[in-house]
Amino acid sequence: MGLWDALLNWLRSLFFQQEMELSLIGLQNAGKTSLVNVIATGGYSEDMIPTVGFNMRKVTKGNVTIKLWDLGGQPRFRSMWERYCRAVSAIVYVVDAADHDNVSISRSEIHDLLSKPSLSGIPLLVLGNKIDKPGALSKQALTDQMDLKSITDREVCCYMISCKNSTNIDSVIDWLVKHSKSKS
Amino acid sequence: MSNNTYAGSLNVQGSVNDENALASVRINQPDCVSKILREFPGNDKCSGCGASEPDWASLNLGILICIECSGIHRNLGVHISKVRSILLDVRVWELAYHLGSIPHIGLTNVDTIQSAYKTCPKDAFHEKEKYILAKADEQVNSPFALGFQIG
Repeated sequence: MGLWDALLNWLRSLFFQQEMELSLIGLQNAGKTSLVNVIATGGYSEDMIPTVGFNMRKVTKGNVTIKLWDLGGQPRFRSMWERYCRAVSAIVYVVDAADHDNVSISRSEIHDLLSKPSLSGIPLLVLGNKIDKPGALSKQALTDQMDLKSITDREVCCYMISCKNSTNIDSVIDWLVKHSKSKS
Repeated sequence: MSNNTYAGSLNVQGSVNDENALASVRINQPDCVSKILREFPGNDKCSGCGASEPDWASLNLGILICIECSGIHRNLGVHISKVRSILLDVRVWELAYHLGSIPHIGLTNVDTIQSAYKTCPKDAFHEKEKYILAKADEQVNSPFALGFQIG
């Protein structure tokens, strides 16, 4: 019986299972690894350390398997962002909305990356993280400061989230799941 | 304001001694940054837990820390502690060098070294966290905390 079920599930998965690949980028300490944890397990962990190199994680949401490349944010790793962003279904760019000094660096990094011809047309999801912190930017302010309006060659979406309080995480997952469907 | 005058006077002393030694070293090589920083007394150990060879630094507090303690510092938020890697962040150290702020990173460790090792590398994460929270408060108010703004 178990074997039969397993076979059926496998057959079903051949037809209904969809895969998507995402790369998660952003400056150091924006909350990329925390976001992966929240999406994968729903839990926020306080004891995080900086990502050295990258993490890869597979997460299943409904019938969509999401392969997440969580890349380190330090300048040494930024040169490899492009390599991991080629041919993904979407690029997720995380910004620390409470770190005002670094928003301009964040803006120039993403505009640099998107100017690469190999990444043309890949949808971009910008997430302003840490809105639980006092002094965090509003969505409008972040959109303006990141100059997102000037990106016209692809779909761009922006959400304000808090990994700590799980604010808006469901909208993020919805957006991701939708984009895996439109692709296949 | 008092912080700035303090930084100025230390600047002059620091640059006289170190200029010749450092001028020949290319600062944009991460090995060099860590080598220079570790040469200052007190910088061989993490200021949070005392672990050897700390690879991370808090720019505004002026201390070197290990990767685990850097996680705790990042958790505090950038308004309290601005954490950068001395191996993986590059440009920030070029700028810090030109500002003459590198010597201060060592001095802060010396300043607090007496009270420093109340936690050890083997302690649990939340033990270190409790200690670092208390200490960050003290460090923000110390004359060595420069509070310089670097991206």
